[in-house]
Amino acid sequence: MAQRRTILQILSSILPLSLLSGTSACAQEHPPPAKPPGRDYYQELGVKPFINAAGAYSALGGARMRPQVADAMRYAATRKVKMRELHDAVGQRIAELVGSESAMVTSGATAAMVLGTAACMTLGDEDKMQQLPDTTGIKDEIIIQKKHRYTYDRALTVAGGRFVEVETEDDVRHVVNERTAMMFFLKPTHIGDNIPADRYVALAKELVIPSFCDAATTTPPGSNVVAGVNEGFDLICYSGGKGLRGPYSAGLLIGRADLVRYARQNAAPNDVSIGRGMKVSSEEYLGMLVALEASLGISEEADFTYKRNRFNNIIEQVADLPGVSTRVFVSASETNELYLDIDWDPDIIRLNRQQFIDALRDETPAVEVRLLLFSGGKIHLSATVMDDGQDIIAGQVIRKVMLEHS
Amino acid sequence: MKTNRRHFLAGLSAIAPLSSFSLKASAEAATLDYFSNLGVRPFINAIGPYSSLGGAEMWPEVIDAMDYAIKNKARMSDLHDAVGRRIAELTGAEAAMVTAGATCGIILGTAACMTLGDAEKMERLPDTSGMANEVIILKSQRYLYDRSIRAPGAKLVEVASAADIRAAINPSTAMLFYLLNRPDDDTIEAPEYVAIAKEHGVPILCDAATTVPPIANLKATVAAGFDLICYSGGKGLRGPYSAGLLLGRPDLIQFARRNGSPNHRAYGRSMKVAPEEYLGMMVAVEKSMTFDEEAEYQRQLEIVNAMGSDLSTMQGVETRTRTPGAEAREPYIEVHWDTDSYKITPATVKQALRDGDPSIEIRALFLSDGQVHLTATMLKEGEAEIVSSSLKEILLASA
Repeated sequence: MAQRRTILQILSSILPLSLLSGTSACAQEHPPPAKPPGRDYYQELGVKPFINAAGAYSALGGARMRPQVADAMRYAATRKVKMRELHDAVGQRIAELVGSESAMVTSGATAAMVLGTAACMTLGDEDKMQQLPDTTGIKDEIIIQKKHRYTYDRALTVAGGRFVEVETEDDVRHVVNERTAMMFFLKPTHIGDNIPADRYVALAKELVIPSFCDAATTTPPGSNVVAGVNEGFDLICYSGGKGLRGPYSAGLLIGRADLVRYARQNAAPNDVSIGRGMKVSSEEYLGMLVALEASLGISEEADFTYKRNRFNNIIEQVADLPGVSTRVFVSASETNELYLDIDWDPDIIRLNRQQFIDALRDETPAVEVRLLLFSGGKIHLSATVMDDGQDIIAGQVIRKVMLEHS
Repeated sequence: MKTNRRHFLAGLSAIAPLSSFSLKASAEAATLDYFSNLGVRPFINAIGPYSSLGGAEMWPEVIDAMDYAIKNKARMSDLHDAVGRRIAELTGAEAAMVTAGATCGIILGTAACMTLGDAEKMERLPDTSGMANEVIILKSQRYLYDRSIRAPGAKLVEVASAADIRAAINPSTAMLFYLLNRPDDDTIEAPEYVAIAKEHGVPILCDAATTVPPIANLKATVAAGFDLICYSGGKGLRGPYSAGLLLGRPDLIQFARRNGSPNHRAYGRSMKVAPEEYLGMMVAVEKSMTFDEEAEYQRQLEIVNAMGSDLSTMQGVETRTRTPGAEAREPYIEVHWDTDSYKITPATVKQALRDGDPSIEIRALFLSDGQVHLTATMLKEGEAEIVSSSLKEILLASA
């Protein structure tokens, strides 16, 4: 809690008060599911609609964009500007908002990792940029803590990087050499590490190696971006289409001015860059900025109230079923996400967790829920991507499935 | 490389009928003037739908479809399957996918041909040691964007003749590459290239990024027998800026998808395509199929001719209207001036127009004396007059 206050204090020193007041109308808007204006494309295509009670997963289409983000995208879609000018202006504005030297919008957190790695390996050298992913004569070693090896570290090898695993500070000092390009760090902290963030950053500075932090999933709250930037990593990245509720294929790369500039050189729309395939449209660039502004301005209390109301409507549908228990809680990590935990007595409702998930998926509308590994494989529902009204339907579907198996 | 680039861009073609463009969409969203707040200046585009300038104007229907997808969620795999099927039906291709642009199409296509669905190989890219990683390319077709073939770890093998190709093919050959729309210097025509590929059982990928409109080109290219073909989505097809198409053999499209987003550990996970881009791309293809291209071509021709008449009223200024054939459907005018009367280079003219108010972008040919190009593709109502009068002023000032 003390930590949260600090973050808010930092925020208030950077943001205009109007953004901090939090109860602005736009931040509170949760419009009902959109009625298709003309064509119902999904019906035409036979794509089955579903209620997302799982969360902002890429495979499920990411987060629900805030209305002002969708508006900003429509705005940019109908007005052409020069990409470089837009990149400069939006980058500068994002940097101001989060208190960093520099920033850019990428085509997602993974792209930010690829471009950040490419930046640290090439440091603005034209020939080297041209040569990637062939790293002959190029710094290509990336120091990573063993406990930070994970699914998305794959992105660090896309530009040609190679892992050097470490466990202790001594290990780091021992493996650093003239081929070391970058020191990588993974957040959130509950993942565990031997060398904590502050020590890792200090060590990188001492050894003069650029440090990079993947903080992709550490929002909400949006204020965590400011807090992350303040930890002093040379580069830090965030997913745009998840906790920040920005465009699906957008993300943020924030940090040292020189390194962000090098990352941009390795990216679209530069024709011969390794990242030319990772295009970011002007609507995504602008949408990402508006999403960040909104995320920094929203009151967490209002967000939690919204989610709590969705959960209460679900609970109402199942509370009277024998053997069913529910619990609303905040995840015990730096990502302050509210979850609804649903459990049942398997002797009364004869479903294991996977069967429950599959049964919900077969209903119309389907309801998507997930087993969350961090909580020991319990069924947790998220209201992050749930519209007002979908909650009751989801609750009814869950009730139906439970009754059918009682 | 420079010459190639120029040539390549000259082949860029796209059409944007501003007259038919509904202003309703922009009016609805005009609650906040974001660009003006950010100090990002509007400009007049007399050069064409370049990526660096934001690409083409999307069809209004595309923008509506994007809005729909933003507000209605679908499972990505369902959406990819359904939209892929629909685009395949529309284009006559066996299978299709939406990519994050034509470059992404080349990268994923190359990755598909190198890995052929082998999970261990996919995981290892761009390290291609021990896998078929050679891509055969005609020397005359080396260009700016062949860089993307190397991105997933492929090596380029240059050839100059049919005999070269046959000699170069070996067990390490992953793919044959062909760049469409370079008729002047092709030493081997597409049918022969395709035939050689088939004869040796090597997949052939065709970059047709900038060959539409006319949309008939797309169907013709699909019928030509390439195993994979990629298109830019945000240019001639007037779809989303960071979208493109990869069309072709179902097995190869399947392999390309596995190397792409949202697969977590895919080489191409970073090249994300949003649901709104997926759906928007489909609508852009639909729209392109039914659009009256001839009327749009005539509209553009009238505009460039009007600019030409206005400019050629000046002493020592000559204009020529260029109406390229079926390969490039973008009429443009060449503006020549007598360099004894007007002491200014094309590069300086370009810069002066860019620095003006409003800022104007044109194509300047740096290697030829006194020549710039003007196109009408991206011009809005009333802008053609501003372009020609600004150009006249700059020329007069140099006299």
